[in-house]
Amino acid sequence: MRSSETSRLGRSRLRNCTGVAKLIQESEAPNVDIQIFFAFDSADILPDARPSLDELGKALSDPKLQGATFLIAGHTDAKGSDDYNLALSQRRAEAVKLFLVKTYHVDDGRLSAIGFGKEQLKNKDNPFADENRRVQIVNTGAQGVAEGK
Amino acid sequence: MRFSPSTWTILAVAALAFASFGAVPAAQAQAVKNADDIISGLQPLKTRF
Repeated sequence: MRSSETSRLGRSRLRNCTGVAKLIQESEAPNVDIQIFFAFDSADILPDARPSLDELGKALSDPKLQGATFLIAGHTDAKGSDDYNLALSQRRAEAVKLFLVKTYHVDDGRLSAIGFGKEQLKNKDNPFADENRRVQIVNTGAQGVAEGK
Repeated sequence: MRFSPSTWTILAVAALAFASFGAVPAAQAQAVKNADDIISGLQPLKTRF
């Protein structure tokens, strides 16, 4: 695939992600930010991330959240290009989803993973701050409702 | 050599600050949210506890 085409697809995807992010913000869907540590330029989960992921796994397995569906939104800081950060954040969101499915047996159908790149900075005053590199978990509603049941 | 009490105070505060700086590894500086906090944050607004 030509690089200009790749870039065009990246921009198109970016617009879609921004739309999803706007919808989430406008709906005020319940969400939590969790700092997950990844190896540099990688979607490999570091051992330091395990305590946070274990707590997330316990939470999503809890009966109080039974039947709810969740968006796992990956975010990066402002270093690097849009396309690079989109791809990296997508891989990281998918890595978190895979961990939750494999380790905590969270139903695959309850989780969606989307990378937002650097579009949704948590700390806009400091675009390179660590806190921007995070995974956001958003409650997107009940499973039956999401599936039109 | 003799030190005044204020010098000892400054040295003690500096030593404490230095010790606490090294006690928390950088990678663990971010507090881990516990499962109950996550559940609470993800509860639909009507049923939050």
